[in-house]
Amino acid sequence: MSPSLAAVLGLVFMAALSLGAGLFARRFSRTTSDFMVAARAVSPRINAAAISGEYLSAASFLGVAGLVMQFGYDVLWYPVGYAAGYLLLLLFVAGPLRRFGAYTIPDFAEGRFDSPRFRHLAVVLVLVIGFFYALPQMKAAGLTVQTASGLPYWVGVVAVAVVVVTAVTGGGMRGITLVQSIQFAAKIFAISLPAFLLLLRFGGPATPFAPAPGDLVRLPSATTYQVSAGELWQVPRRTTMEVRGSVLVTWSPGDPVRSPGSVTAEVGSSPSPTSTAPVPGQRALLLRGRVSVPGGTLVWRQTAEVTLARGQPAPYGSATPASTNGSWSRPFGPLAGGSGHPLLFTYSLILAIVLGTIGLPHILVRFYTNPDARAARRTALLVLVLLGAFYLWPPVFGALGRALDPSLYGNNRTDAVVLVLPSLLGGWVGQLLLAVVSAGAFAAFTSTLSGLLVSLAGALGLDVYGRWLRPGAGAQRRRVAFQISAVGSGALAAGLGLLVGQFDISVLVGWAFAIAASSFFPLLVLGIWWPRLTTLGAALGVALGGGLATVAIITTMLATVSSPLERFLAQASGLAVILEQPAILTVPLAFGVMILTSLARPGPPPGVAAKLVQLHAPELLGLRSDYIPE
Amino acid sequence: MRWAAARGMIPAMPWPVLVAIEAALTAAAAAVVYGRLRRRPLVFNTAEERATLRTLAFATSAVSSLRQGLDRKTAVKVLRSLVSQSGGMAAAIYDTRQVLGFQPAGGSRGEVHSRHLDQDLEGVVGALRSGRTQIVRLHPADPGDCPLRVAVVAPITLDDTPVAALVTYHGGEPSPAQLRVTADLGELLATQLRLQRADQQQAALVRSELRALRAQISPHFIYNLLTTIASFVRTDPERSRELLVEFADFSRRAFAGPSSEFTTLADELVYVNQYLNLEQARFGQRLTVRYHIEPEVLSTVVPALLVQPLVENAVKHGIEQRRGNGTITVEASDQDDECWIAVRDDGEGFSGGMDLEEQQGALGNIHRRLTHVFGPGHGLELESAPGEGTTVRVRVPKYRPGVKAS
Repeated sequence: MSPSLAAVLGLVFMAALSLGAGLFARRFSRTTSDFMVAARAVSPRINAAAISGEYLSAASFLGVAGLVMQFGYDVLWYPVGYAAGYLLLLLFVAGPLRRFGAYTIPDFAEGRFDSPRFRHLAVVLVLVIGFFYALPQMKAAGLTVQTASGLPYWVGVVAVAVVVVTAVTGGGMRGITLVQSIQFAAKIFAISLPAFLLLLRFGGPATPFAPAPGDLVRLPSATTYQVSAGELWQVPRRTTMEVRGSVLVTWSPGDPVRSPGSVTAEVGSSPSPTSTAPVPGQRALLLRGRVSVPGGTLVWRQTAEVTLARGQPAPYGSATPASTNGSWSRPFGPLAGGSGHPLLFTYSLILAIVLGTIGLPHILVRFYTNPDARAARRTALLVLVLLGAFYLWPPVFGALGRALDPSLYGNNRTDAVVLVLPSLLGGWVGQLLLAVVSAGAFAAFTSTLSGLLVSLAGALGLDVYGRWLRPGAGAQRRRVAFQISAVGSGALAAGLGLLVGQFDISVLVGWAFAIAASSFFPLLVLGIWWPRLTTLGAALGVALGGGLATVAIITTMLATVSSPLERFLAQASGLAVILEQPAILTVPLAFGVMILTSLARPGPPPGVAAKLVQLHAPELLGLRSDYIPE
Repeated sequence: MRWAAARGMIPAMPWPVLVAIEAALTAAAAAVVYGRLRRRPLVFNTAEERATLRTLAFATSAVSSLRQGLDRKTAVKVLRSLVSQSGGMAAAIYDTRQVLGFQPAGGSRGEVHSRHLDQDLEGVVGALRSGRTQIVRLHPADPGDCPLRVAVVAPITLDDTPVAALVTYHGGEPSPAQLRVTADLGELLATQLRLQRADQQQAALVRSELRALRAQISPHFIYNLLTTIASFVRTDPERSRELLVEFADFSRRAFAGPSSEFTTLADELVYVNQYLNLEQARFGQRLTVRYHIEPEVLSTVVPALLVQPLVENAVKHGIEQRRGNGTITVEASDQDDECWIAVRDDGEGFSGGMDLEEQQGALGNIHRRLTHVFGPGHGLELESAPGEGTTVRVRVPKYRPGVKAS
């Protein structure tokens, strides 16, 4: 939590590197002597690094580690799914889409179905997915700046929004393959080096990874917590704590770790003395000096400074269900098990993440840079390898965090675990590593955010304005529209980013994936591989799948601010799971609607055969005449 | 987060039940969609409204089919929607030699006539060649059970030459109104055919201009180049050999041209590079070339021969027509959903504008091709002032349906 000059320097260094590389790439011109156009084409290796660089967002860099620390085993589906999505991309989409020549998903929608109106629908969905994906990046920005410099959360969000919007409108950081591939290198370096050194310093993997299954997480050293009024603690067992001065608390009984994943009902409800119904056994206590608090839920009524000795069970805040080491390290632990329908929850999550990758608007755009379908497939394969190498490390941070700094549970700051752990190494090494991970985190959210902003501003300024509202707009007006859209979307994303501080980064990202999986994934797969798909069927499927997923997720978000809705969802747990992870319903729904509608009212768009040839015929078939015909 | 907490106390619903609910919901959604598709949502009440709609629908469908030209396939398509409008018992379309399609009206016994269509070929073709709407009597000898007695032949003329005819068949003497309807329908078809021909001519014009552009290597370029190569033969035989090979390759591309109307920017730049290498051999130190190409746009599909003529133009005005050194800059930059290409020289420049629509040279050709393919906003943009050099800019969309390199 302590502000660190080194960390701030890390942020500044990364910003300078990105902008500098961007300027270098743009200004660098050549004279003819060593010029060969063919040699200048982007190789699959560089392009794969650039795609990975743009793809590895804050959710991957910070969020996955935080979620692993909170929920354990079940979260491993996130990194697996994030990477595995590229397998589907490689198998079904990358090559054909490159042959087709489409730049964006709306391009594909328009070209495949000859329907400008369908294009509009696709643009709307690009905007929805883009904004959902931008929110967690904003949260990560706020968190990183907060951890690195000690400034408030909102300062980080606003500052990063300003930096990225400036870069995007000025044309500095955006879209440049070289910059993005450097950022990938920065990220994988920044996450693997500290993890490696931490493992070296705090014992081999055996120490943190193999705790006694039935035991709770215990504090590895004496820890002092600064708690504010209204903060909630789950105290898993009787805990001895040293309170400075005297502090008023409300305590209610209950065993937070009764069964895997299930937690007492009070946890998480906003505790205010007037609104909460009396809970049996609830007591107001005045804590003073050294006290022993039995297991239960504790709500601090005043600001306090509390010290827990080494070996005491770590208290949990409101964000994380308390768990034993056993339930944490097994499937259907606190995350999936907490839903009441662990299998349904897990499958739905896997579907959303694996299938959603294909539908992310800022990723497919990058495949356009490949010279041909072969290069596109090679790129997708290499991305799979690079991402696999990266995703080894965030879970390591999660596990290390649980063993080395469980105070993050009580502070609700598990999302910051990657940023916090390096300073445990102490001395200048710790400071240096803190700078490195801060720079990596900065690279993570700026690269993804700038890619997203370009997509959002492109959809708003170039598509909605440039094609839809004012089709004849000239270059200058389109440029202005793009810049205004970039500023607008940046401001909107930052504004929404301030509101989502309470959601986990990876959970927010998962929602963007769920919407993409329910709309663009069926569109691309059926559009590429099924000639009988009709325009009407595709449009209905995209609208229903994407629309329902969005409604479901917004309902889940609203439930956190509307208590009637929250109570209703608490009654219907099955519905709650479906609303929170809608992919298992909406993906088959979108496929079903597309197929049934196309069968019920056949009539594929004109020229579909020619389009399928264009999508699937290998380039090598295109014969070239090597002599001059008479 | 609350959701994790809220769930603990909830009675569990087995997940297979949920999957079953989901299947039911999917089926329901599909049923609703299907139902909506089956229902005709709009109801038109009066007979006039319905008739107007039918006529409009016919006109639209005729437009779309005939734009592909007139043959057996499109003739049958047009006749199917036309026969109910014609007021006759059947309708047919002939070209100058044969019948292209025959369609009896629904509910009439016109199909009997299809058996002896060949009997009236001569009469119909004769009427067609006359160029005026005429009445032809059918099989005067033995009508048999055929209810059709009279045909109205409305010739379809293009450039005052009858090329086809619309024929409607009637059981008795046709009324003046029926004559008029047939003649007007024939005129409608003729309009569509004229439009189709205009489309074809436009495309052919663009293609022939492209061919003309290919062959536009100026004789003095070849002469100058050959003398340059000759001067190297003694002093630097290796270089002269390289230049000859390069020239052969360049002329192959120039004469044969790219195999299609479009190519990738990478291919186009290879060609440009070849051309500039040859020019540099001619001009030596006088010519400096700078490339500023962002690799992201190399795979963009552009009209063939888009950049090379611009560069040639820049060499002509930036280097050839003045003393001293000159620099040519070729830029391609990645601008979101467009690729921006600019060719710049630091020559004399010029004042006043240029009407690219009417310009007869390479620039005009490129401008017309660009606006033809990408729309009016995407032509060449010229920027020049005396003493400031000249810049030519192009904006090519990264994707446009139908634009593909082959």
